[in-house]
Amino acid sequence: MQKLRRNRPGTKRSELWNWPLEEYSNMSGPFAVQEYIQELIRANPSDIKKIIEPPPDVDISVWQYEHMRQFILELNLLVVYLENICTMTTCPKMKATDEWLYLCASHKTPQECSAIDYMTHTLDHATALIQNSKNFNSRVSVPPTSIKYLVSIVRRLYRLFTHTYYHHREIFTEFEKEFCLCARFTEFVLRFDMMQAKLFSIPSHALQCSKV
Amino acid sequence: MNTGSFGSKNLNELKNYTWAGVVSFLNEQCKSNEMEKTQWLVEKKQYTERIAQLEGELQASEAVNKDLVRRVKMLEFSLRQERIKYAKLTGGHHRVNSDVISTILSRGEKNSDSIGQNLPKRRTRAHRQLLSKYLQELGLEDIFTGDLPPRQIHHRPSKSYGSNLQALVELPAETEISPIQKSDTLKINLIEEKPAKKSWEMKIALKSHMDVVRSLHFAQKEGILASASEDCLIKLWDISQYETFNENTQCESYYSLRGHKKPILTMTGNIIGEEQLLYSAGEEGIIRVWELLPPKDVNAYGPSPDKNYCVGVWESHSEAVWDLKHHPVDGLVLSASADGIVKLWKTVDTTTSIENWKSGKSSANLLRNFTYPTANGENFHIPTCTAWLVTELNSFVVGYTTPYLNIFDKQTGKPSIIRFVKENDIHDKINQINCIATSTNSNMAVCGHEDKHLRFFDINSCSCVKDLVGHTDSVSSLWMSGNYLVSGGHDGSLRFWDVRTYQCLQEIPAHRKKYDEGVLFICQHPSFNLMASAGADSLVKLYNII
Repeated sequence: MQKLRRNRPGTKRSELWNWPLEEYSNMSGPFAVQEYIQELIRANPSDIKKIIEPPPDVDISVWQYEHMRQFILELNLLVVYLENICTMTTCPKMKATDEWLYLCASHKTPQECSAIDYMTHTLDHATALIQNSKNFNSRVSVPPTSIKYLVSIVRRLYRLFTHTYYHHREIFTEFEKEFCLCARFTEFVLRFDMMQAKLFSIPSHALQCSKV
Repeated sequence: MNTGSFGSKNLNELKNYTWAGVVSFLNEQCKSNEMEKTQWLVEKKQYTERIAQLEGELQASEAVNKDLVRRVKMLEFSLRQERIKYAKLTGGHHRVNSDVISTILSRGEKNSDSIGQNLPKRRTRAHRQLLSKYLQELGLEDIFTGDLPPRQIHHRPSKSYGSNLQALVELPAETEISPIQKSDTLKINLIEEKPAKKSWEMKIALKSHMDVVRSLHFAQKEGILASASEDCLIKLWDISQYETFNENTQCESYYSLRGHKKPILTMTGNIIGEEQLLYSAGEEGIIRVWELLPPKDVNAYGPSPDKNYCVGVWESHSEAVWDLKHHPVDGLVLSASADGIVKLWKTVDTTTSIENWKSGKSSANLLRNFTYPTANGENFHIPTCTAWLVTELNSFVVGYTTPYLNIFDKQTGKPSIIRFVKENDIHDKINQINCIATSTNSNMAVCGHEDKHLRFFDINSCSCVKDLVGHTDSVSSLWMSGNYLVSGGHDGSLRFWDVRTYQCLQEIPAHRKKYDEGVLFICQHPSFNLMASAGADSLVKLYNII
């Protein structure tokens, strides 16, 4: 019999999500895609090729949508890691390299926000966008026409990485070591061709997270 | 000539009837006929709907009638008893007495029989008269005119904790029933039941979390709902306008509280008091205290605040924290952790201002540790959930992974243990307690178990008074309000129970499963007619009584 996949109250840290990794084809629940993606990440976050590659019988739109949810979830953690490090005083403007100043598009008219505000605004805005019932009514089937909304936020989310890389390198390294999130994000965007190649400004050697 | 003129006129008229004219005329006729037909159909549909509605109303009023008849029988019975007493007291001779009694009894039985026979049918006018006659005799003729006026609501220290589900009406003690027995009093507990057709219905699903939502909290004063999730965020929702919500409403969270680096498993908040604080904890084992700000004071898209909304970080538990519970009256918080310890924390109270309190160290806030009393020091009893006893504010109940329940006194730390399964099953997690709810008007606690059962405990006698299968899968959450209990299970449904009869009144399918988890949390607003549930499908759903 399959082990019950449940975190009962009282479970110790080491026992949480402690059930064997399941093949996608054996999963049947309504949120099987999310379950599968999260299990792969928990099993080995640095195995980005396996995490990004969709299993044969999955709906590709749902696959992309659930990955985007997971990126937003984990990017919220990056903001927590930057707490008290990236502030109004340290980074009053949202920049990666000094070449560009990014305007925050979460407002009616784009405006100059401090880096940390840019990040929280972008995340809250992206959350609202992908939870909007009009375009993403169901998590079981996502209309392919709604994927363009995902593409529209990819570029802005990538800037969270670039800012962290160029201005808070130690946090970037620490975070990347634990989550391999930037590596996974880059792999995802390339795999589904969601952004122009020249926009990837983080050198690939920075993404060589501790591969096991 | 006449004919000729007639003929020419006819001819003129005929000239008007061209083929095109006739065809268009017929077309028009046809169209108008069609239109009339559709109008009729629409009307017909409206009438059928009206009929269905009226039939529904009829059914509802029949149910009410049935209930009233039941009450008549109740009152009638007590009247008979009183008459017997009266006859015993006034009559001198025993024989006469028994005669009087037997006539009264036979008359009463006849009456009750006739009521019983006609009970379900629609001829209730006669019963209504009968009912008012009896009530007049009892001097209570006004209680059924209009809505039941709550003469005296059960008064408890926990009144503010109150409930809109519950309305236990107690008649005033000075109601006189007999000229002789002035000292005697009649107490009837009438239960104000909701009209039969009312039930809970989903109002809106709140979407914003990215992962399983584990906990909810309604703020007392402002219309704020806080939700805590495994996505490490707490989201705040403005639900003050919930009555205007419908399925098309896009209700967005107005603020996200960021700070946890691991999934949040539990959250609580103060129920009363000036300062609105939230307490959250999870896998990290760190308890964070948050200022809960109303929508007017924060802006998710504004510049970041110059202060941190996280006003306290309590680090003391070495394992994941699974339950936090704020005291219903005092500034105290309980935390139950997988490290085997339940800790009692001090929060803001009347003697300390929030500013002083914020600057305090986390160790200064820790009052006491409570562990399961074991002989050899080996502690395999892991607390899973806690609840304050609303009727004994100095005590709280703790549920364990082993099938035991402990009642602790917060001052002395003295435990009393309730065991309810066989000793040899204690290591089997299938028996574990997942959630506890305590009653606001009697000394009772209800536990939801991993083995799908609901168990009701009498705290005074430390015994299990009722054991029933609550869901088709494990029971994960409970909320108790007066005589009503709401339970949520991993089968994804909510069930509403009457704890006096242990009957399930309603079931709602609420959340879909992620892994083997369904509903994770239920709570009711302290004053609004509003209920919220959180689920593994990352949704928060709001319900109200329709």
